[in-house]
Amino acid sequence: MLTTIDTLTVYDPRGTLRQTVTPTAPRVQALAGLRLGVLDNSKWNANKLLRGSLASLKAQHEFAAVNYYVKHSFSKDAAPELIQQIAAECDIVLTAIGDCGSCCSCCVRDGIALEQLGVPSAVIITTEFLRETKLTRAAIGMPGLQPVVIDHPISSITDAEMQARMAQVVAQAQQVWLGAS
Amino acid sequence: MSDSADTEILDIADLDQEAWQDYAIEQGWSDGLPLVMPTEASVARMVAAAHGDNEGFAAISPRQVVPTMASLAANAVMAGAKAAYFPTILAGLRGILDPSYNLHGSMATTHSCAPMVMVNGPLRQALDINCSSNCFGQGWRANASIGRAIQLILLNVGGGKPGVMDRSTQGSPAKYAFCFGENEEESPWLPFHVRRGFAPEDTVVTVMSGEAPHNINDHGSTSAEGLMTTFAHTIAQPGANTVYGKGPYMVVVGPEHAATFHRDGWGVDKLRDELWLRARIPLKHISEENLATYAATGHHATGDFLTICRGPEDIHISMAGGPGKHSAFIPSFGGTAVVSTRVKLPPAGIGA
Repeated sequence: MLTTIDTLTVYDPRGTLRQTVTPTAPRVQALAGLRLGVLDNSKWNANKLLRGSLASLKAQHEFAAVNYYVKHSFSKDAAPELIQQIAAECDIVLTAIGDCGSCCSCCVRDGIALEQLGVPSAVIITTEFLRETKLTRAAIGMPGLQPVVIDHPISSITDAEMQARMAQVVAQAQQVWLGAS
Repeated sequence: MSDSADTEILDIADLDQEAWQDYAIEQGWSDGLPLVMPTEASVARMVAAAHGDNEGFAAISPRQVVPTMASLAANAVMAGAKAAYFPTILAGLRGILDPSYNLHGSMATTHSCAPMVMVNGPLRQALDINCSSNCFGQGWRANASIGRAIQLILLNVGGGKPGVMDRSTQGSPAKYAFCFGENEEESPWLPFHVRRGFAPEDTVVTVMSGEAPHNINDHGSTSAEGLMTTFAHTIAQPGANTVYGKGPYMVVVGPEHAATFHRDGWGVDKLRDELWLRARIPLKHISEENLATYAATGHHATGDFLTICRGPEDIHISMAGGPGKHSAFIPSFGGTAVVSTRVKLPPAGIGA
């Protein structure tokens, strides 16, 4: 038997959202002569993916410098001091890998922190975590952040599959930095 | 974002109980179980109970919504909490919002972690929070609804929807509700919160992003030394997130095991030191691929073993449960912390 509730007014349990939107950093005109920063989050195969992608990028562009950074806990945001250091030492950034929930969330937040400091940042995530990336960038207030989206998974793939992922990184990262569609 | 509310108050049509449940579940507000209707009157009673705790809250990840007291109260009502539980729920939430807890990481992760909530101090008894037999299990309104309220807040205000922003591969039953009290009355040791610098008369909520409890069964050992052999080897496993060696873990010692440790002169510090030395994972239990990755990220083997935390200070010891020869190991998410927060009560007492 159903009971009729007299009260017709209830609270919405989601709260209300107030948000400001921050634009991404200005894109660069060309890659030659820039200082490229690489932020490795120490996840399985992030190093291999980044090193391989870096080799292709260096073959195509004459960077003024390439600086490699590692954060040792992939499930935490990079330390603010590390973000500051990277922003001071680099003009563009490539970071990987967001192939799980916490590491994707942290990679996107690291990328946004760098973009806020004026550094165009290519954040590499996998196809399985694209929806989460879109929701995170909107929640943090930078819906314009364009990720580099490569096939999932990363941690358990063959060398041939890794080569294909690197090609995806190289093509998309340049578009992210240059702002080309 | 599209799933936020434009207003806190909703006028709903003449919904009977069944229609309300269908409506709320369709909105995505539920953990799958029926929800108590958050009427104006019930939310107001809950908010009144929080008058001793009126500081603002940080934005809740992943949606980054700054909660109002009414939105938190609505979730507590829906969870089935009494108003008197609300200050305890809020203290737990404050701990979860401490940056060291790493809420956004622990919400987004594929790991199975849930917010572990442990309560110390006099409110355990006033609220009838189970600290004894079946303390991790079902049957107590306070344990069930305090744990559930925190989960519903993270779902509805935080936006941690399963499969969307909560990407846990398999999840865990602990994600419905994971709240217990320390069994201070039967513990041979100082209460957990007192060891952390709080007063005995404070009620303190301790949170950690952790896995569901793993049982430590030892009926046969009659000495601290014997028990430690079982504890250390149960804890030293290669498949928990503690394998990364970068986060805390909690050991909840059952009262009979605690009595044996105490009889043999082992206090909390001794337990931590021995676990630090002995709860290490033999390298032969870890795959070569994983060892290579750990080495590359600075987590190097110590002799023939991997350590599972940074030092004895990462090992947290509490005492809970009833009669029996069981204890529990709660591995953390890893990138998290154990955060303790004092419950702030209205001047008049424990609230409505």
